Amino acid sequence: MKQGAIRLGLVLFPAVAVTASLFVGRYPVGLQEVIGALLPLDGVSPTARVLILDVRLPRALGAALVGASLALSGAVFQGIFRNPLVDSRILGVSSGAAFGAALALLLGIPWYLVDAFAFGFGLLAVFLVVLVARRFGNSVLVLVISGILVGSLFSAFLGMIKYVADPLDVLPAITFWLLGSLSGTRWDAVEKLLVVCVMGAGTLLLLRWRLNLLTLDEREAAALGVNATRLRTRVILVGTLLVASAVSQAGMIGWIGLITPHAARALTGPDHSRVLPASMLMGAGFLVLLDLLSRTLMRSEIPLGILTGIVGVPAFLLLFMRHLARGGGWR
Amino acid sequence: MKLSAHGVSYAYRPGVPVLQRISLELGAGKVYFLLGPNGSGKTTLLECLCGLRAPQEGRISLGDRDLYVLPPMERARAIAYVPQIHRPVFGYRVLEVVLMGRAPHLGLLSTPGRRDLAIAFAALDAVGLSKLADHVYTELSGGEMRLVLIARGLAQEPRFLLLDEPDAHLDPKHQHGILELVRGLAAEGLSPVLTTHNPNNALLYADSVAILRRGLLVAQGPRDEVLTPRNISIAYGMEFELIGGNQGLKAFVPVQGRSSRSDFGVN
Repeated sequence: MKQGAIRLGLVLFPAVAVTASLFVGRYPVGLQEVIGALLPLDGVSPTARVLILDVRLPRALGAALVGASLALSGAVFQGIFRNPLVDSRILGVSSGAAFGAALALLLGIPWYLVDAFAFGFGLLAVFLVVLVARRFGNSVLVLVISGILVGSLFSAFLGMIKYVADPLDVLPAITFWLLGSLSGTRWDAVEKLLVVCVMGAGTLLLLRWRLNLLTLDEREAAALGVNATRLRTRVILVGTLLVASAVSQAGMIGWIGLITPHAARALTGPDHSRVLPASMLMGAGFLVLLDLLSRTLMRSEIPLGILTGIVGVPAFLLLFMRHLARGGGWR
Repeated sequence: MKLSAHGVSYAYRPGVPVLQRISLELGAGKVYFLLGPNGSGKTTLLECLCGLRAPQEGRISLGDRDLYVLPPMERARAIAYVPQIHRPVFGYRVLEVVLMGRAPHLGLLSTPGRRDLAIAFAALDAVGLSKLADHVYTELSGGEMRLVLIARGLAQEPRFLLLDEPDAHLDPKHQHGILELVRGLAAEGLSPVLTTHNPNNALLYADSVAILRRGLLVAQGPRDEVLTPRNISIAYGMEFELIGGNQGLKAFVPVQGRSSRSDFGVN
């Protein structure tokens, strides 16, 4: 009964958030206009129709997909690295993507290719990490260390680009991109996000029970007949695709991937069969809500990456306090 | 089916062998103890026998097949490994931990079904922890954790159950509870293999014993032939005496302990 209520709430959360974001904004629209635009009926002004169908709806769905991708990848990374404090940054994918986007902006490459650069360099970073780790025995520790090294290297390159970038136009563009935003998300972006999210989530959900075995000590997993290295490498690649797709569309958005899986585990327990769907739904709902706030709190939009940080830190503190109050043991 | 080592040598670093030319044969529903002091190589030997480490020399065979060419899933259906206590990062429920033992019977994309659940419950029942099925594993006591890991091994439905020091870090009651349980499993046809550094536990619960010292076999065979004061004294590098004999009750006692006690009395 209680589980049923939790499930219902998890499904309703992103649905309610997306619906709410159709109504809220600078230009107020009423129930009649939203229903009229969605169905579609006559009697809705063209402005309202465009605003609802081509601005607010794709943006909300984009936020939901980015949130779901980040939360899902965070959940699997925390599981396979056996560490509840990691998210996509652990493997350098975010640093790689940030460098890629900055490089594209520096070279004056057309704006629609900036996302492709971010995506490509995000994958390249993780590819390097996996390559280095393979050279040194592929344990979790080696993966984490190579992730930190590759991430730091790309951060240094990013610093170099910022240093040489024109401070009047290119540097602000890079900075703004890095802060993360979903403004300007249209249907084509939603389609791209959806394809990667469905493929990634599909693969990971099929592997959901096996993922539990990756949280075991490597020798124990091996004794159970599990080829942990091979499975982990595959899961890392899928998780990286999800992160790279999210980052290339929305820029650097931290904390969702770190906190959401904790909140999900608190509700469902640590079994990945339940944590993965719960993380996706919560991540989707959270990011839609935060994006809603980012475009309504102030006269101008607050960059999403800043808002997730401001909300994320206290949320994490709350979860951590709860953890301490229960006497330790991550759940 | 037999699990046997033929002239197995293992070294973590070249030139520093941890195991040297070990040959043994396990199976036939007997409780087999690997006995030896710290650093004698018994845990390494156990890990070789599980297929977790490939020996540099010699080979280990399961039936007539080489253990290291066997597909891992097939190996894990024959041999279960019960590690010493571990504390996983995530607080799985006890039943979920036991269900992980079904991994070698399930395909890459499948999840445990009704039959797997029944087997996991039966395994929990066999170790007497049915009541804790819904508890959080990380919140259990050391003895209970070890029992859960044994249940996970049983859920693998193996022929061999290899336990790494199942009596370490436990009070006497829990030690004997676990060893008693292991003996019961052997009566049902499973072949348990245990490492320990306590000769008296081997005396009470073993059918066969191999004694290791610095990577070499000191002796192996039926319990009563192997567990002699001489072998135990050689293995541990200190003098032991076998006392008792009344109603079959015996124990190894270090000579040193008794002599120092009498010294204490004089001073």
